[in-house]
Amino acid sequence: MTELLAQLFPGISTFFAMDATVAVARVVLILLGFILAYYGFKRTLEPLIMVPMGIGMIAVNAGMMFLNTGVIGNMFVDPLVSDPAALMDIMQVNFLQPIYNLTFSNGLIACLVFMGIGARSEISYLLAKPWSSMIIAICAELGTFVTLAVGVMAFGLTPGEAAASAIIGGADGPMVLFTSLMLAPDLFVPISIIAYLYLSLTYGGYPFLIKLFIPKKYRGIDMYVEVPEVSQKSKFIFIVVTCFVLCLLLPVASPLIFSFFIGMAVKEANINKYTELLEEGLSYFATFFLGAILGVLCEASTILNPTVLVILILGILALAISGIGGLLGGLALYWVHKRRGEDFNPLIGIAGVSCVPTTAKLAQHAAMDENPFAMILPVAMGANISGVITSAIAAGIFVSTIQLIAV
Amino acid sequence: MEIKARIPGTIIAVNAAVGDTVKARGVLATLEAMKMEQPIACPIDGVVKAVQVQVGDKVKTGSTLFVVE
Repeated sequence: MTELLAQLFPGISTFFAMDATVAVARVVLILLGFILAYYGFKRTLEPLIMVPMGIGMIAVNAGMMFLNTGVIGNMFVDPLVSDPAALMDIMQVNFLQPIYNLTFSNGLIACLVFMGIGARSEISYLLAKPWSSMIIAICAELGTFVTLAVGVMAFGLTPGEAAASAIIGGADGPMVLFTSLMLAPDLFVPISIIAYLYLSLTYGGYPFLIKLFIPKKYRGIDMYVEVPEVSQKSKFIFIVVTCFVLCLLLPVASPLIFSFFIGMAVKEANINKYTELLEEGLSYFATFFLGAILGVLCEASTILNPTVLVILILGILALAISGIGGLLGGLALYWVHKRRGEDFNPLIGIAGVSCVPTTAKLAQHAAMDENPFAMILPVAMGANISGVITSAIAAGIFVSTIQLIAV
Repeated sequence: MEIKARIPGTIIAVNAAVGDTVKARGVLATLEAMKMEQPIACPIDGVVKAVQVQVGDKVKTGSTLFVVE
């Protein structure tokens, strides 16, 4: 009788057939899924990622079963399969496997998100204050380099593993996927989950950092910037040429650079159908599946890796230090501008962390809380776009130099 | 004085009409840019001379929205 029940309800009986630690982790992850989905619903966390991710976590950890080979598994995704023949078999069973292998692990899904961001961005932002933007973006890369050192020295990770975790501080999902595939392929799944989880948490976490570091009286500073008047033709040419130059200099980041600039290019070329497709179609398709995939990757037995705890600590350290670095850069630029009698809102600092466009919007929101008429979004977006470029440079440096150390 | 858009976006509300008396920091319209709502303020006390936008218009940086004197 018990035997029959166990077979009828494998979701429940697998709890007793598996290692106790994994079983407990399943329960914890199901509860965590509820919390993430609920705070997405409440808009405390980014709803676009958190709702599908939370529900994915619940579903995958609830829906465990005995596969015909006798092992315990699920019908969502198996991220650890790498043998091509086994992969073909598993794609016919696991419904999210094709999305995982063909769009997630090669970074395509992140590139699709970036095309949408490009179509929503305005290149003249970068032209408004190019030097300040670059300085802030470099300051906001602080966490990446500090965390690399901490990872190797304090936690005893290999340089590759430490670099792959540290790049979370660059706050660029695709860059994290790429760096961990190159430097720490064994940790690819936990690093990518943790990176995207934290990137979604910046939405809720950075406002506290802002309040801690930027005095209230500076937050409402308005900034009138002369966005240079450029014709659509010159903007288009500038976009194409910049895309060429950046791809030439940073091949590591070229897929991402291409995606971002093609989005801006179709907008400037007035190909409205494409702009609409990228902005309203593909980027939401990609964001939805990104959330869902991240959720189903949070399966207890995959995520229970002793290194996960270390990555959890390093990831949050990297993002926090990068945020602080950016804000301190913002304060420094505030003083520099003040001496010249110009206004500069130090909140722009947080936008140097290149989580496009979240951190730029956080800066604008924080400014509007103090002064509803403040408009710092164009400058913040400039810092944001520069941030993408500096994290691409950081990823490029890591991938090319750390392999040399390893050899 | 011309009041211009400071960021590209879509006008989602217009609160002033020609002939209205407006005060400095009064909200003339609301602009939605990158999924955020931004009030468009009047910098001076005055009278609205021209309204050059309506709800639903997409505006560019620097395009004139209102004329106030």
